[in-house]
Amino acid sequence: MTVIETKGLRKSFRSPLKKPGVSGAVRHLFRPEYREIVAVMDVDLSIEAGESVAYVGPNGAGKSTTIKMLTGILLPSGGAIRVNGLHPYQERMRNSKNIGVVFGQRTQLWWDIPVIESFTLLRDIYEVPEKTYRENLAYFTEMLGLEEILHQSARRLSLGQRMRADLAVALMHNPAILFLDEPTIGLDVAVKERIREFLKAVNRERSVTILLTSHDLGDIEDVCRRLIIIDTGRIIYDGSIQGLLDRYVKERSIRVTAGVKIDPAGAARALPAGVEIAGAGEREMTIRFDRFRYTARTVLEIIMQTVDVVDFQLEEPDIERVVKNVYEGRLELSDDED
Amino acid sequence: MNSLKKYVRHVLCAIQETTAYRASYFINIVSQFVSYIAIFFLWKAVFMAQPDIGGMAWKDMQGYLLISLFASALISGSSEFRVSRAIWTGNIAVELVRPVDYQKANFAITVGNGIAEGVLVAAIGLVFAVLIGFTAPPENPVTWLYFLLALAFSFITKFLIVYIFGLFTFWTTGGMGISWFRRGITDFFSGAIIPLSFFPAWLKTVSDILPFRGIVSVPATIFIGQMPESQILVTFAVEIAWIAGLWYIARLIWHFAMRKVTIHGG
Amino acid sequence: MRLGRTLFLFSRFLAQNIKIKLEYKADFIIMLFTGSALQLLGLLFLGVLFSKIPPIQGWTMWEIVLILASIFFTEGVVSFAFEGMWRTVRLINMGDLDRFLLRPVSPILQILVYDLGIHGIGNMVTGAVLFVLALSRTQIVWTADRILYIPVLIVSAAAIRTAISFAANCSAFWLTSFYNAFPLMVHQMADFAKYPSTLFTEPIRFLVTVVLPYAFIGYVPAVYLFNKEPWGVVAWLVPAVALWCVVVARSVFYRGLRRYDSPGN
Repeated sequence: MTVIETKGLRKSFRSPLKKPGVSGAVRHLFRPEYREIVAVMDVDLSIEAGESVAYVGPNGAGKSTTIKMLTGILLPSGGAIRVNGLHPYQERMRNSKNIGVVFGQRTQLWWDIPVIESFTLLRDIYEVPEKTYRENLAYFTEMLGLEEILHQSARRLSLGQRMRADLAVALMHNPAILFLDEPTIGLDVAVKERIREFLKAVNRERSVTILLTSHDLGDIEDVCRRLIIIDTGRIIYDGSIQGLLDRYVKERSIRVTAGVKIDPAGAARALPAGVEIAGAGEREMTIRFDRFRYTARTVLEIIMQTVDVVDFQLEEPDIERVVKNVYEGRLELSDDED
Repeated sequence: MNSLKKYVRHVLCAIQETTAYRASYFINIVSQFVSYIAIFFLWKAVFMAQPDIGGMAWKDMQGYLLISLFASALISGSSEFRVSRAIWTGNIAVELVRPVDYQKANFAITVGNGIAEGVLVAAIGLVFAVLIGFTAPPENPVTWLYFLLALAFSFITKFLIVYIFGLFTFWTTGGMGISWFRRGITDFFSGAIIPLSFFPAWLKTVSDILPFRGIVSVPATIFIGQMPESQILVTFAVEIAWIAGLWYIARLIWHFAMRKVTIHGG
Repeated sequence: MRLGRTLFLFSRFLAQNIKIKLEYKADFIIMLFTGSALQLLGLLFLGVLFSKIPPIQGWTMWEIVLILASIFFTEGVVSFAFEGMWRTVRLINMGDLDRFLLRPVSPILQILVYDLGIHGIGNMVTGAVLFVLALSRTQIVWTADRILYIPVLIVSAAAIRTAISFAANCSAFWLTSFYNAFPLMVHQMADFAKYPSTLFTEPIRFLVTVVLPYAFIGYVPAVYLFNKEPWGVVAWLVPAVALWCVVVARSVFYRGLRRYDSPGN
């Protein structure tokens, strides 16, 4: 069943155009100019129940704008949109009962009251049945380690503690979909780990559909099975993470350590096309090769003919680098790539 | 002279900032006038019933109200909420790290705001004056000189009062409440709504001691020619004393506020 | 949203806010003090004004005080319970409105109860005291309908005041600067309602009766209660006026919401 569906989704903003300085300001008073900024353009999404999807893109790509449209905060400028079968903006209150949202930089908690009080207030707001509330509270307290923070007010919590509480809040009413916007931003490694485990458990055990935006590609690799990349308002990739690597990562690397000083020039001469030296030190060398043409073993055998290899390390294709290349425009992701 | 340039830059930036949003700019100015319309009509009806009150005739009152309006409009709400807003959003931390004297910088910004808004307020005020048929501006150029001086003092005094109250945000969270309180006190004791000469003796003594009358009552009374020269000079002396006093009180409060911030980590 | 649930949630939020305010004792006391001090000044103002001027256009001082008292009182109630609307500008410009939009509760309710105005207590007390005082010093013939009118007036007046101020605060959706004088201006226009509308020229009278029906909070009820004019019965329209204001305010909000672009990331 498709829980999130959009077709041709669009959002644009009007922004004033001003020349600098006092004269520019005065001129704007009498003859204002505006320009239209398109934040999201022609986005098609189709997400099934139970999926866990990563929504990735550089800053300003339109990620948050999309999420805000899906959660009913922003009114789309154009296109069709359906979440849980409803139009999220027009049927906002009905839709809000089916979704949970975590914004990395904002909290759902009330600032001045103990966390547990925020929970009960929200329980009343979402009309969660008492039994469900107590079960969920016990489950989240255990999974997220909330015991020590339940009776503290939100203003005294560290970022990691606040984030865990916000996760509990988002899921207290058993929503079908969980939206997360930069949930691990600013968190230390241990907390990130814990949150990722939690998200996986929730996705697995409770079939909660997850849509996650993050700059931390570790989050994405760990939690999500599907990756959507958006850049300047358009979707440029939609598929599995492995698929991305398979398609666009042509190369792998081997790093070899030699017993004696390396002669890079000599080694290079022996290399066939599609294999090249990426870097060389006194006793180390990194070789990059086209993984569709050669296996690691073949390349190693070739190298060993000219280099006295005593140790080697195989480097796995790295999604971080791929996405980085996409952001920097070095990798054009277009459909005719096959 | 280098440091003066810094503050001039503040003034220029403030002018830009104030005019950044057209609709808000125009509406902010118009709203100054609205509250005065009610007072205007009230007094008109009163003077129709009794032509001479407390030594003033209706034409005097008209001039008085006009100046009251102008003096109040020079420092509007945008200046008022800047300090408290910066504190409330925590943005003040950014402003504190800059190598400028916060108090002087705020003054420069207020001047900028005043220029941006004052021009339009003066223009509308002129139109307003014509509309209500006001025909009696002072004829004596010396009076005009005193008047302009009084306006300058009015501006500085009001700035200091608004600024000091803004600093109170460090200690309390009652946003609108504090602002309404300041307005209430200022409006009352500055003679903005009722000329101070109408006050009973004891109340008049109180208001004479306080700095507020410099904001409206003094320039307005000078404008309608009801303050003799000797009194003007004494009044100015008192005002200057108050300005100096308030300037240092503000610095003192600032000092305490900084201590609070560093102790509690804002 | 169902009325029962709205009232339930409202009382929950109100209770929560009071608890929070009481935590900050110093603050609470300061606000209580400033509210009362302000009221005292208002009284002083009245005193000075009336000591100098004769009855205006057939209205005695205490009759005008009665009008003022009812306005003070409703202003106090609205300030106390619905202070949150004055934060609308901030909520919109900092994108904090998002939180409210994500919950299955009317965002309007959430905005209204966002903050408590302790200074409103001072207003309410002064208003009540003045009202009682004025009652004893003016001539009102207390028929059954007039007695019934009072609670109707109080509730409707509070609704009108809240709706108008709230709608004015929604101007933040259109006027996006950080400082927005519009709501304050609209609020201060209530000053026109403190005095008999006959004081003002036609256009202003129109403004205060039809466009921003402040007149129905003070002047019109006073005409009715003192039986000044035969058309005073019009005062019973006040609940209809209140309903109208609420409907308009609500649509202003939702119209504005379409323009909301959730700044800040």
